[in-house]
Amino acid sequence: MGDIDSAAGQGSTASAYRTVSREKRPTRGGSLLIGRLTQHGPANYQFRSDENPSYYVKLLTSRGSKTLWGKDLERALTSGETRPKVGDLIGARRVAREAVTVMARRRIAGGPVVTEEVHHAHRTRWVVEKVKFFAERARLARRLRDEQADIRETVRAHPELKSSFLSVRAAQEFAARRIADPKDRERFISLMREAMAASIQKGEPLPEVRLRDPSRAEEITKSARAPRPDEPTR
Amino acid sequence: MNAAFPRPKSDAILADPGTSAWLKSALESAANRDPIEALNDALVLAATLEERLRRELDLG
Repeated sequence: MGDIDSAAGQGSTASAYRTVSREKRPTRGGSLLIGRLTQHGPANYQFRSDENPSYYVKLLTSRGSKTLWGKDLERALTSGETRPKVGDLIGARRVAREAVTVMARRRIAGGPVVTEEVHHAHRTRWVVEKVKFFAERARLARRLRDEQADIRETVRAHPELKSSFLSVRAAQEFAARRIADPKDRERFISLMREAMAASIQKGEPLPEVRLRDPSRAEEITKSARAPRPDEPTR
Repeated sequence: MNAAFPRPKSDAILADPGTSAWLKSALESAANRDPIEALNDALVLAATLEERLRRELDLG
């Protein structure tokens, strides 16, 4: 299985890749690359005319210039939380690899498709944000890891952690009901807490809290109470 | 393609009111040094500062 981003470098002028299915597989996450964003944009992989379209991000790091390639980099830059601009000090991290199945179609000089081949590859998912974002995430992860912290106080200061703490509580309740051995129970809760903290630190989206809309709840209650005009009267 | 960050020129940086006093001072003192040694030191400095940033902000 190849990497679709780097697979673009395997010469395929007459083929058109089409993603037909995908599956997300979380990984532990790559290291954080830090540097000043100097340039970014769409381009053929490695700036070669015979390669497939991709997206690049150039960084000036303390170890020199570095160019990242990947179709997901555009989404990461433009849809992230901090949306960095050229000149900003940023961090870039690979957070997951998605398994994708692509259909390579080959045609002769604009004619009909002569062959279709299924290829299995990976597409890398990135988080690209200003450095301060990662510092804040590291701080939030520390809060979540701190078992001695006053949860109510922490959630008041960081409401974005509410869903994560609710998940920890749900894990504790699940463990209390389903796991008999206290050591296994502790281990389960600890692993759950660490997984969530690591995800936060990596820069992945924070889980959202779904609050019940009181007006909607009232509407539902009313509609449950009031008989509809077409309902038979008793 | 987005506009590239311009390659910095020493004079422009020194004239820019937004440049920190620390950077101006470093540039001025580097101007009198051997350019190879100055760049070599600057790269060590950059790597050291990055290390400090990672440590203090817990960036791993």
